[in-house]
Amino acid sequence: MNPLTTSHDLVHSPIRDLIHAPARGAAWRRLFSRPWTGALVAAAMLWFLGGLSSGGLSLRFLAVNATAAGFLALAGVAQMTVMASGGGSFDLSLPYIITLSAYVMSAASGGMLGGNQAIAVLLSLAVGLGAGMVNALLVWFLRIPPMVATLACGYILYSLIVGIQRSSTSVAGGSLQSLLRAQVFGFTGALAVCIATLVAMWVLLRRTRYGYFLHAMGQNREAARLSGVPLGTMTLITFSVSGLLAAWLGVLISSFQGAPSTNLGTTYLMGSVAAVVVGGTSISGGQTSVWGTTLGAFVLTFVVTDLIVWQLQPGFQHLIQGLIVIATVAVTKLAEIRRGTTRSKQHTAQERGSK
Amino acid sequence: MIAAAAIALGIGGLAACDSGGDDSPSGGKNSGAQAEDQEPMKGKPITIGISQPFMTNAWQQALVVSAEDARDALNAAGYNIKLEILDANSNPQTQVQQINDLTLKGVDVLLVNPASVSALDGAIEAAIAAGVPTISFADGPVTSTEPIELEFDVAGGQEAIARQTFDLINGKGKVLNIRGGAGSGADPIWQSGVDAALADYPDIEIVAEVFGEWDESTTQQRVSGIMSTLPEVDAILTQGQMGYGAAQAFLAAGREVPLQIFGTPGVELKFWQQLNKDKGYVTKASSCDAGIGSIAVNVAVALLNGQDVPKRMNAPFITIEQTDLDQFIVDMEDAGVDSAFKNYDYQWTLENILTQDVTVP
Repeated sequence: MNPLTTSHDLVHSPIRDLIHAPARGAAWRRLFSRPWTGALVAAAMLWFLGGLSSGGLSLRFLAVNATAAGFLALAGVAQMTVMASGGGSFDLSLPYIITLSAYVMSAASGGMLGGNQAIAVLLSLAVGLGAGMVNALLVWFLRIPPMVATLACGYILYSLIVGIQRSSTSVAGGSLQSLLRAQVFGFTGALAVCIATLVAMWVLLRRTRYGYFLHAMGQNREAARLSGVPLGTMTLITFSVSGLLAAWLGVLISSFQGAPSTNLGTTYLMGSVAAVVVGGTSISGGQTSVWGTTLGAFVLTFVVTDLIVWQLQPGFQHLIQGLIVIATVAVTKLAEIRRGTTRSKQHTAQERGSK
Repeated sequence: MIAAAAIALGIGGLAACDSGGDDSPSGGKNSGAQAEDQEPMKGKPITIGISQPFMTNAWQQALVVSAEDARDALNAAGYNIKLEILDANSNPQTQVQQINDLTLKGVDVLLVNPASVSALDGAIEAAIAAGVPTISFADGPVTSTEPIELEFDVAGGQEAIARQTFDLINGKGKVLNIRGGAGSGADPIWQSGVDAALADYPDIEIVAEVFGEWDESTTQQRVSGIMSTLPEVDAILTQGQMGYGAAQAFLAAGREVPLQIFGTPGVELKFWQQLNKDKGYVTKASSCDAGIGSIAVNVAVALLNGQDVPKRMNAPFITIEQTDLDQFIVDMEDAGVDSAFKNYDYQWTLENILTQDVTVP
């Protein structure tokens, strides 16, 4: 067993792994000391509470929410990849890339390219890749802080959205839509595609040199540079991956839903960051957890659905939503502090970015 | 040239598919000489500033096209009007700066489509103090009592839509109610119209309320989320811009699309057209008319012409019947926007808007 890959299964942190031996103790204890424990508990409870009105832990209730959660998980993982590169990086252009790609998909498949969906998908992905590369160039060569660079890039994309949207809301249907809407026991094809994408991202972040470099870079940029991590190339790949993933999400959403709308990406701005945080991953960089973020996405999706099912007053809904998010993160943080006192005070302090 | 003639030409042929009556754009009725007296601004350069909250929305884009159509129509009738249109990208702070900027430039009239009900009060009052007549329109009213208000009676409009929806299912059945933004200021006003209608329809049961945030994607996700808890639904009621998302949620779940009165986004109209072709689905569409852009320009010009402009006016809702649907889609595409609307001419505005006596609720 190689300690490099067996400990901290979900939050990957090679440098920490070198210092600490694998956690010992009963399996359940390890399960409950994971960073995503809070999200897991919250998701299960919300599933149960929401499903109650339609018969307990109904599989159907899970199925109808899983697609939306899968979409949010993709956005979260895109955001997480950028956040993992450290230095307070966020990709604020995500919602704009999602929306623009959705419009390109709908415009291209709606006749502009003779209805050739394969080309439409490639064109949408090219838009996302291009936007991601522009972000990376702004960040790396002009040394513009990532939040500002991606925000600026987002504004430019916003103009393109206004332009393209003026004349072209055709309905994106076709074989891709049939595939995404196909159902097995209520679970959609779109969900299967999301899971496949998440697995691919897990492999990229956990099983490739890029993934190791990304974590090293996020934990200590200077140490990573001295160890030979090519920071410029890493920045380029990171923002490109984020852009591509966002564009892919735009393709999936517009095809699944049938037509894009201008606010399509908006909910994914805060939603993507929230999914990462609720999933137990630190925002200070150097950490990733694809499955934690996925659990976070489920929590956030269930919260919205449950509040509709319970028919609460509108003002109340936001309050409860906020409380559930705080509770979930608090559980994670408390577990983290407890772990910190028994294992490594030094690293808890580092994770919390204080002292 | 006949002054103040029928100028509902922005979208060719719309007047033709109108059902007629008092609400329709009418032709010029007064003689040229009479009009000259009442239109001293004719020929003089006029600059009208329009401050838009955002433009990533087909309805807002249609509003601007409608304003431009009204400008073109008035200029064709001998005016010399320039529009200065700014987009605040959903940021009230940006809009404050833009209002200040337009005030400094000294536009003749300022039309503010507010991104916030209260954040613009200071800027608007400063503009009025600087002598720029200011009209808040479309997305208001703002909290300041100083500007002239040209708004929609959304409660009344939504009540009419709710009654028509309930009538579509013969006053009896299960209805899914899609509301707007949870906790927003506008949503309870829309909902009050629904509540007023419900009082007269005891056999209508609201089976679920979903907040769709006035967005098709959000609506689809949220309706999909509760699909397993929904019984048979006979009709859907929305606040506009959410009907397509709601319908798609039912389609994606393999269920029949319940009846509903659609909004005016192109995607909803085309979807309705398809449903009608495939399944004989017959309904109508109704929503706030983005043609308020033309009315606002007309009111601004009337104000400069020295007409009496009431402090508070209501703009009409647009209604598209099944028989008019195809024509509206053609006209919408000709206008290059993705939301159906109707233009109103200057004379119609004088007769139907300036004569209003609206009590502020």
